[in-house]
Amino acid sequence: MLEWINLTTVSAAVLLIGMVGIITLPKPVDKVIMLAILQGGFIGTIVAAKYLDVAMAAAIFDPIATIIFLIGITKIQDIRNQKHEEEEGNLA
Amino acid sequence: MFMEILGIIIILMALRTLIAQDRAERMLYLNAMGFAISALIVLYIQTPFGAIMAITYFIASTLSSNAIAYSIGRVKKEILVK
Repeated sequence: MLEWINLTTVSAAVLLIGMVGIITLPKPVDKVIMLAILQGGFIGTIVAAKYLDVAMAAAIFDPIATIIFLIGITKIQDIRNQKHEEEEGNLA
Repeated sequence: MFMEILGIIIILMALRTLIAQDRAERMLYLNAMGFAISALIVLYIQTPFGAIMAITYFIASTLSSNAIAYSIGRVKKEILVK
């Protein structure tokens, strides 16, 4: 009855859930969290095809991508706040 | 039997991550899903390199979750995509 649950179908389902989350959730940090889910599904899909070396490279480089996204989000936040304060100072 | 149980856990945790309202709750489900995926990998590939792959994914997903959790409290007013 439950034979259809193996690594291939579970990874495909996780990929689809991550895709729907990235598209529908509005806030950037939520998008990054759903991107982490999508990376899990991606690595599961590669492992299901038994390309283990490619999967290991993807697993090593995924946290780097996440950290770069987070650095970008916090940095653009700081820059926008700074610009807003400067504009307020000019008006006053 | 273990693979079916782990698959059900993974799909349930992914759906709860999508549905959850609070962001800290979302991090919790993300961690649980990462652990279950590494267990499913090591049950699917039953060789030593499969174990090394599962260990690598475990460490990488924990690092990624840790980075997200560290920056949750830092972002105050977020820029929304209209």
